[in-house]
Amino acid sequence: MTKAAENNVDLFDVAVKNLHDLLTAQGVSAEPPELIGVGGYSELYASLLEVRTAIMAFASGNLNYKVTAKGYMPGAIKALQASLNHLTWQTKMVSSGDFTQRVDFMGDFSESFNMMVKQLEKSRNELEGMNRQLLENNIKLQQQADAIRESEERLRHIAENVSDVIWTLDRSMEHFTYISPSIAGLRGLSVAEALQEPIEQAMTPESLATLRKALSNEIVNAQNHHVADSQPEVIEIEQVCQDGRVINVEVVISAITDSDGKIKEFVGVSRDITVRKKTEGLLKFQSTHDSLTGLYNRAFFDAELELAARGRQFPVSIIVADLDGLKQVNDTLGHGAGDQVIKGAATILQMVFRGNDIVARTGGDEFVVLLREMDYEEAVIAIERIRSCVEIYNANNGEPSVRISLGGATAATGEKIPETLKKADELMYADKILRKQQAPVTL
Amino acid sequence: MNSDRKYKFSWSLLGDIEAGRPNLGNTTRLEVYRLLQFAFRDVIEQHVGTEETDKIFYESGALAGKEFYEHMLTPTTDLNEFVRELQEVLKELGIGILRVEKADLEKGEITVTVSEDLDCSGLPELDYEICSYDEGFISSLLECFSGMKFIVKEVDCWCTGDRTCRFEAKAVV
Ligand SMILES: [Zn+2]
Repeated sequence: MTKAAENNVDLFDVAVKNLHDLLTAQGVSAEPPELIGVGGYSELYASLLEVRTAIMAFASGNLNYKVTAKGYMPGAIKALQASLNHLTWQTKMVSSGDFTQRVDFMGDFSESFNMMVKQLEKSRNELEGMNRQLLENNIKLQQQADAIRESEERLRHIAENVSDVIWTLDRSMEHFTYISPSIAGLRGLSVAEALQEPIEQAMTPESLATLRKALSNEIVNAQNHHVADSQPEVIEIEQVCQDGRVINVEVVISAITDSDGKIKEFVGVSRDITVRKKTEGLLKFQSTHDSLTGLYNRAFFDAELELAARGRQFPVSIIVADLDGLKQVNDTLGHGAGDQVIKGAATILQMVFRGNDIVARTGGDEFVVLLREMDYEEAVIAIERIRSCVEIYNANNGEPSVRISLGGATAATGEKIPETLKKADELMYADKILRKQQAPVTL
Repeated sequence: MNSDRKYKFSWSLLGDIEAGRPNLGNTTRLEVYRLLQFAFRDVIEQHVGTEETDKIFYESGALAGKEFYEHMLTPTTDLNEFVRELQEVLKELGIGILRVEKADLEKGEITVTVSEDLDCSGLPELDYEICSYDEGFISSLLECFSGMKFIVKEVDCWCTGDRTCRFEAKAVV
């Protein structure tokens, strides 16, 4: 071999080692010192070095490395760089919510990536759906809350503007949780005072017992039935006002229950029925009493007679009393005087009898007394007492004097009562005849 | 410039292809397109020189891009929307596969690649980038979308041995 040929072989060896190093060695020099200036070798070396550096840069994640070399191999690396950069951009787009991004031309990865994006989109749609649902629910709840608030306002407005007192009582039955302002009209208390007042002071002990019984009934009702078909309890109680007056109050009570039927609280409406009670009492009195004398009337006497007949308080005595000469008094002195005589007779009978004795005016000039557990002897004594009371009365009251014919009889059993009444009546007539003979009426 | 021009472009010049080609349809061989382009390039270069030729192609691309934007794309202000539709249309029409490497509208920097490019993919290796028409085309699309003027430069091209054409766009401030 010539010297030049030997030299070429050496250079070739160096070049091979150079290129081998570029491919395999960890560290390489920036330039091939021995071969600088050898026809195009430096440029080749530089290009390969750049490819090597670029591959290393991409492998370690630096996708921005700028490859300036041209040609097939640098081109292939740049194609990979372009794909990875595009992928980075696509991922950014996906993360900003663009689920239309699809990867193609990257083999199996494309399929996995696209599937992931589709799944993400599906999940987001589901989440959005849930979110919408939540939002709708929220709006519905808000509307319901508004409706409840409106209804509450309406109810409050009603509660605060009716004369009836509306209240709520907690389920311990001890504490009022709400009392409407009309409590001032009912009992003369402010709402705050009424709320602080112990329930025992709000009503009479009997009334409190009545109230507690009614509340307990409501609890039982609520447990046994549906709320819808449980009837409110209506009771009447007596309450003491701030000024000491006792008033009659009608209370309507309902239990408020939760969905399980458990009592949450009670709601009640209290109404002043004092006037009604008085009217009722008056009507009852008028239906059973004679308006002129205040004695029982015929209807009441008949009912009592029937009760006595069916009862057990024997013997039962009946005394019939009949005014003498009432017609004459009316005709000559006028009805005012006649009424005075009738009232006088009533006064006399009330002087003699009291308590459970039934003293009734059964006709214009006729009175009957029903005496339970009184035997004939006692009845006779009673008749005598009437006579002496008549004398005393007349002595004190002057004309027109009261004159009464009397007859009494006694029944040992209920069956005997009609005939006993008849007998007393007959005896009274007999007395009247006798009295006419002894002392004819003169005015 | 002369106001009564003979060749002023209008979209209608593209004709009614459906009516005009009932049998052959709307496609032709890509060679025909390239034949036309490279023939133009040759003759124009002979007349005005290389630099002017590149400029003419860039401007033609820009004109085409503007018309293309107006007739083929839906106006939007959303970059993602714009890119997605552009990708779709370019692929559908067989122009190329567009990918975004970097898009920073605030900085006015956008890097895209076009693979299987209509103009250059498969061309023999030359030592210069050849897609000046594409550069103009892309600059116009970006301008129509963003309202900013862009200068687009092809930095990698099939013709220089790369597998994709890479275009760097920079907004002109
Ligand atoms: Zn190109």
